[in-house]
Amino acid sequence: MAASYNRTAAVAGLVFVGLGIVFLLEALNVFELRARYVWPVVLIAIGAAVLASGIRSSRRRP
Amino acid sequence: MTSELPPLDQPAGEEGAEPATPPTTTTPAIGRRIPSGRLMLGLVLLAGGVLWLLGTLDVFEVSVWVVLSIMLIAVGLALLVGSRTGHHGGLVALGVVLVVELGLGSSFDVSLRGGIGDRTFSPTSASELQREYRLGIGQLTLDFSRLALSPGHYSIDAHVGIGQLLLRLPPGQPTVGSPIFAKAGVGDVNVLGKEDSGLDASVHLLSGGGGRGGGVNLFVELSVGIGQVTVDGS
Repeated sequence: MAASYNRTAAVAGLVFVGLGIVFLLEALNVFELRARYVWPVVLIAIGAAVLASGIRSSRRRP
Repeated sequence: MTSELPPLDQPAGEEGAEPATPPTTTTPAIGRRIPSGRLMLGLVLLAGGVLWLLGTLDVFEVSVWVVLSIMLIAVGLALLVGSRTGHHGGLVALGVVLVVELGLGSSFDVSLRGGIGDRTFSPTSASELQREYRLGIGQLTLDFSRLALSPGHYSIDAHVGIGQLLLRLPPGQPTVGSPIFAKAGVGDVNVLGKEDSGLDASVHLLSGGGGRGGGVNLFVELSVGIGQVTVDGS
């Protein structure tokens, strides 16, 4: 049980680091984020993270 | 040869005697470590607060979005490092809050700088014209209908975080060489009848039809994070 929580934390960590880098570059005016792209990408990232953590935990079950 | 060990019937810990073996009871609470999740959460909040405060005190120039982005990266790294020791629900919650805040702030340009309420500016001369107008939440009205400008180049930049932004152009504007850029992160934009609405709504009026304008070039840039932008003629 604890192992699945650990994987969730790891996946969440990866997503946060990725999004943090994107937002930091935008704040430093490296590029401009547009609303019509930001929220779909955030949803995709969160969905992918949930799927990844769910698939990994289901593989461990007999 | 006499033995230096205490007799077997002597209870351990009796005054003057030392136990032959270390106690096997549970370790005392002394030296107990702070849970790593709380430690990391505390460090992230502390570092973020210090950066934010130093920026506010003008010790160095740093944007709040840069601070929040660095905090999000730190939360992610802390989760990666600490994933072996637990689920760290507090860090995940903090990360979600940061993502929502950064997403709102960057994509919709919701800046709450400038206060809350309704503001109206009605300059009548170039000296009363400000380069920048800001309002956090509310309605910002820029009534330039009595503004008399001498020939030259002028530029204004107005932003409302959440609410309405209304600009009434000076007489004779817009003219050739006086572009108007208006946008809304989410909402409606109406520039002299040209409309756009929804996400990233924007209207660019590059060249007005009001003639040369007597040498007056007024560059106008208007934006709202969430709300409406309206530009009317005088």
